[in-house]
Amino acid sequence: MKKLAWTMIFILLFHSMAWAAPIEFSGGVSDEFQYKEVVFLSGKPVVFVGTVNVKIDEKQEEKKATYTFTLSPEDIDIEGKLTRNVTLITTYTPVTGKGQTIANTKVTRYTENVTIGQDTFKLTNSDIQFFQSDIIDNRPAIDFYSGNIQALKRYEINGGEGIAQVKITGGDVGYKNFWGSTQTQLLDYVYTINRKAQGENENSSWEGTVSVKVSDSTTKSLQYSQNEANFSSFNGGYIQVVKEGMISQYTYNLPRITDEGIDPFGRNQGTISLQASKVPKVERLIVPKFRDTAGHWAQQDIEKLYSLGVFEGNTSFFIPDGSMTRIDFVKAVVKACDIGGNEEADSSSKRSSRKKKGEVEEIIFVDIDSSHPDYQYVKKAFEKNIITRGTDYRFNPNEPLTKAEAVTILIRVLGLEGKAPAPGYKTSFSDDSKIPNWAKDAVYMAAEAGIIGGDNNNNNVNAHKQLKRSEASALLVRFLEFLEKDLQKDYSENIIYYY
Amino acid sequence: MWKKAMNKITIALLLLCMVSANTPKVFADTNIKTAEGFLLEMGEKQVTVEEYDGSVRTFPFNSYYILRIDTLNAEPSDFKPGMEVYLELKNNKVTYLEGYSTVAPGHIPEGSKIRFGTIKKIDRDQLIVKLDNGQEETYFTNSGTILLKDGLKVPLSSLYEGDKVKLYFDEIDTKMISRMAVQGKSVEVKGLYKGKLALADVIKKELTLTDLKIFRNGGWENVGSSKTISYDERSPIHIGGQRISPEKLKYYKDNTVYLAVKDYFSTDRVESMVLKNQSESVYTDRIEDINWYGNSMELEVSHKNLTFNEGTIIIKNGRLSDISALDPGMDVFVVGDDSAGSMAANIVYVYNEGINNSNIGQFYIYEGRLDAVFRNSRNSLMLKDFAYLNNNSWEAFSTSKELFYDEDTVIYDLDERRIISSEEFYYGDYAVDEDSNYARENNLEDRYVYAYTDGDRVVAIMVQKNRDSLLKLRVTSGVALEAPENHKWTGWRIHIANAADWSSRKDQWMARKDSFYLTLEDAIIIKNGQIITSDQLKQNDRLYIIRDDLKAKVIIVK
Repeated sequence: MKKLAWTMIFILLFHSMAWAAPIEFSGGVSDEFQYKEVVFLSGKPVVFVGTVNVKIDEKQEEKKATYTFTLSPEDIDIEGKLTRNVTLITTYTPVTGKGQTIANTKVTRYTENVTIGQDTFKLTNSDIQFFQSDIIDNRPAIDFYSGNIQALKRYEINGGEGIAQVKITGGDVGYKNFWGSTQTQLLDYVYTINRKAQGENENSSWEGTVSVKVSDSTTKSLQYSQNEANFSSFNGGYIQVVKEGMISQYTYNLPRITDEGIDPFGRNQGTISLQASKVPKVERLIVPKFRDTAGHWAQQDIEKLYSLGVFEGNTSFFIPDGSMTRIDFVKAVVKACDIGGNEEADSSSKRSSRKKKGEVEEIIFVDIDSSHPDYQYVKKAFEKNIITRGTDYRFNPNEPLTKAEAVTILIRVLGLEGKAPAPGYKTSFSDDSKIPNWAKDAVYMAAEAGIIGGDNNNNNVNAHKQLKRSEASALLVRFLEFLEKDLQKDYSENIIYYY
Repeated sequence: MWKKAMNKITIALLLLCMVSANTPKVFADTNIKTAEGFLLEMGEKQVTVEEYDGSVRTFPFNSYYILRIDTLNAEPSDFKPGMEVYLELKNNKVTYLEGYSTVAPGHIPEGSKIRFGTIKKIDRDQLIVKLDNGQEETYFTNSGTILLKDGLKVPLSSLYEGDKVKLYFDEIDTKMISRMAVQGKSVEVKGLYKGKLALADVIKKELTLTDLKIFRNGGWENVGSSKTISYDERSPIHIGGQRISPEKLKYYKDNTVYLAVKDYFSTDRVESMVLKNQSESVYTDRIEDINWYGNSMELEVSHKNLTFNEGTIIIKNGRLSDISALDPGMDVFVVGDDSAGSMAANIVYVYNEGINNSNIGQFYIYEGRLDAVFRNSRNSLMLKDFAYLNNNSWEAFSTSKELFYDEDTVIYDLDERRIISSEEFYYGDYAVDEDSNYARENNLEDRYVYAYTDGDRVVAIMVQKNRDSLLKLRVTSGVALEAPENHKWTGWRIHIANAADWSSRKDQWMARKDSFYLTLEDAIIIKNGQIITSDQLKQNDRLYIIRDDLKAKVIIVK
């Protein structure tokens, strides 16, 4: 019964979260009420605002995204309207044995009508060519992906007066994990407008370029909220805050258009930035009531993890200075990163049904049989290559966890161990020679990611040190911060500001 | 006989046991042997190796054995024939097998080691960077170091202390930067605000302020009764030198706050915040001395001593800077927090501006008479009766100065209001022999120039018929309050605020208390070493100006 209660809390907390992705590939941003993008077809940047209706139908092997835009110029002195209907189909092809997936996207529907001043630009289904392909590296707790986009849009101007052609080239980069997701598109548009002379304006054809950097992020974070009442059964607790925001930057190099027409000598260059964010979603978490953590340096970290259901138990004592065991840490990591997602809960019920039928689970480690209460966590971690087994088939679940083991597990969860330098290097730690060979890549990458650092006195990493429960909690919270915040900054602001 | 023999055997065994009990490793080690050579075949139960002496041997695997390639754990299928291997054998069985494959140990792809941080100090090829993880590191640049800003390659002289940078390294243990990207306009402080804290929403991360004022022209100027500004959770909040968490802000309602605000994708975002502790005093003064041990400074005119602390907002070159960016002799606007006889500096705004951003740059501005223009092998020009701007003041020389130009030099003829080619510059009547008949008949005289140079290489030069009086030329630093406008009477002009004029007599930047319009029709405007047109100036551009009254002659966009 207790187990069922914990499972329910777990499912309740880890509800699904929509993956972040910019809307289509026009560089626009939106909140709950308004969508905004910049349109350059007239030769001048014109900000359009309005609504976009987004419908995402995602299955395991295919995603269908439908966007319906209805926009008008933000500047009410400009007459104009934009309607656009887009359907993009993404097909996912897993690459067996590689832990990777290829995602190819094609346009099945694209129509657009733009009016700016006296000019109309019309694009029909046959006027677009679009190719997008992404490679997704499916790591245990996170999917990293990167892709390329090539497209061509062709508009008819004023029913045959000319052609506006927009070549789009670029790509996207992103990640998805339980704690958040970010996708950033980097696109270059080349505008080629060929139109017949209009009256005295003989030079009404032009070329221009626009670079767009647009990023959409969704992040979860924990915020402490103090209980203002004096006589309450608890002092305060954590809120899970889910935020979604989009930022965009258009850098344009267009002709300078004056009342006399296009100035052959000057260019109109500039940058327009847009930003939109949705109202944060809040959810209260369970309140920790340990009696032995008050005043401990790791109190906040322990309470955060307990609030999330990563640590469980009904006792009043956490024993922060006791040793963290291997099994407890693996279980905490699997829970904290939602590895396996709902499979975890499902497998729990499947296990009981199998027991009824007398079936026997595969033995992974000789010292953890399938009846062990934490068998499913170990199994999941083993299946995802987060933990491996030696030739003795032992896991030693109750042995104290060393820092090297903990760091290796965390880096395997991220799938970053392969980014370490070619073997034969030294880390920056003073006690590099004491790092076990099997942990060296993980220690290097954890230091690069800022998850661990050297101690203050000697810059030692102390890889062989057995971790206390408090130290393991602090390490785990820092790891979660990396998933929540560092990755988001790395994939969003750090690309847009420095690209 | 049998008994004697048994006794001898027993004693021998006992001795053997005693010896083995005392030196167990000696016996164990004698069983471990090693072998090395080239792998011929990796089987499921044994491995065949051609040793370096040419002998081919097959060794079975022990029940427990370790497989590694270049110190990393490996699978049997990872081993390929031909690779060099090292084996440890126990009882002639393999307990450890390591293969060697890596050609370049410790190799990383070019530029794949990345660090983010803020430049704390620039000293030619040496950058002290405060990394985002709080550590401070010294890195180096060389002639091959590439610097990118807004996606464009710019010279290293573009760097400022206070710039936020992304550093790329080609090796894991090198301090030499191979490539670096610097944040563009977004790094600059867009506004320095003062207001009363009405509300702090820690979930949305927004502050609502009332009675809002902005620092402008040496004082606080009203901007509105209320404004909501977002903040970043990484933005520091201090009071009395102590950092506080945003959750504590609810206890400071109606308290005066000072905010350094940056642009975040067309919205304002708080980058640093200080809460007023006691009472405010403001000074426009010069730093007389800095006591680095006591973390305090003395002001020259007011003789005030102010301490600075972790929370002091220091703005230099439009960027949030570290205390170490301050130097004696700097002209500053200071907001002090007076408490019980001692005063802490909440804000230090530095007026000082120069042609060069750091000691990497060797840019100069010359004014003079164009005596000769040479082409072909020399590609140079001679100035006579020239002056150059030395520490914001004109230093005149009656001698000649040779400067060099090339095809990339931008030459602007102010009288014709057009850019001319180097060929036109050479063949045109820009430098003439005034005593010649040709000059007299055609009423020609040498032209006068303003030259912006990188060392002795002319980056941009403006040529005009009439000489400006150096006495009338004023050096001013300021910020573009708005984008420039093409006014129907004056032509292109720009509104300048937070300006300071250089006083040669006082050797000091004198802060102005007004904003003013500057016409741009007679100016060369230089940005990133290129000439730009007036309309390419942007709001909030920081400008170094040489002006004749309200007419700009040379503008450098900082």
